[in-house]
Amino acid sequence: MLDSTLKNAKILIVDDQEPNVILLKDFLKLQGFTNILITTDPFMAVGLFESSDPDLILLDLIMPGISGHEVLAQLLQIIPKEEYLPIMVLSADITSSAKQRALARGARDFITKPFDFVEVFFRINNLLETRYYYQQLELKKMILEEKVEMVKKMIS
Amino acid sequence: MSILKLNKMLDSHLKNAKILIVDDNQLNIDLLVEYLQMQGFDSIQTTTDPLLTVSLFKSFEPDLILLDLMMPQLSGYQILEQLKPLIPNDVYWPVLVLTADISPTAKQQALASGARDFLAKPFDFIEVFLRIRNLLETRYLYQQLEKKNQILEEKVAMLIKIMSGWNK
Repeated sequence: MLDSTLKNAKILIVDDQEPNVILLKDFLKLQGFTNILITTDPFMAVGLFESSDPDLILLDLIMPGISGHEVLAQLLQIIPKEEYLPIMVLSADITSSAKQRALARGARDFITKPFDFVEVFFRINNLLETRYYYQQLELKKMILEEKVEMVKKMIS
Repeated sequence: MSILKLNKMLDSHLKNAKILIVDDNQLNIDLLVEYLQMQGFDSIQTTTDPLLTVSLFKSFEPDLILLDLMMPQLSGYQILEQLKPLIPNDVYWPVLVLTADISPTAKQQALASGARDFLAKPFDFIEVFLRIRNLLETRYLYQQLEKKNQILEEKVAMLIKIMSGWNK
């Protein structure tokens, strides 16, 4: 059941290089993911995020016009603080400082380019699974509160 | 609960998490332990003898296992096979494999054997931190969910009891 939930997760890919986007999309489809949104225009990222409500964002760091770091900052401003919405950065820059910078800004994880698809699979699954547990926990808390209210009412 | 609050709770939970490290190379273990202690983790057990893994797993009940893949006598893959029957299917009990062999085949084999993620040697400590934090975070959420499910079941049982009392 968890597996099918994960496969239905909505994944937004933001990368200015079309071959990268297509490669990722094809791989994810092959793995059974059905809900993939893409854009090669970094300026579209925030609008797409708002209209599509994704479960996971894959974000390239080096893009023309607006960098992934800036997009990351913009996204984190509009993502509700109480939500676990993972952003994973894609980067050819594997220096520690580049990683640290992205993580300090709120990215949950990173994948280095060129892609190692086993790694891509691991990271995406792990982040989506964490999101799943987080959402289930929120849901259970809500149900629990309702039940407690109901019991209280009945007793009184 | 806000993610900020959760992060704080996570922080203290993460620091209390039990981590078991299995690596035949004492130097690797020392390196990892020192780094993890620096990050505030204080519940760490280690062994350089892969044959001890299963009994340590049973006695220590770690939240996370860091497992070297290439060891004499017993490989990490074999240990993963031994751990499988001990970990129920629906329980989230992460194993992070440590490997110098970063070929896609090696990674794939580890994944197929039930590992949750891997760390390439030599270690990049930002990655070490990330992988461990992310896996422990998922384990924490999983455990919280289990707890909530249990409480929920109790509450529902209580409700049924009250209601059946009324019907009498």
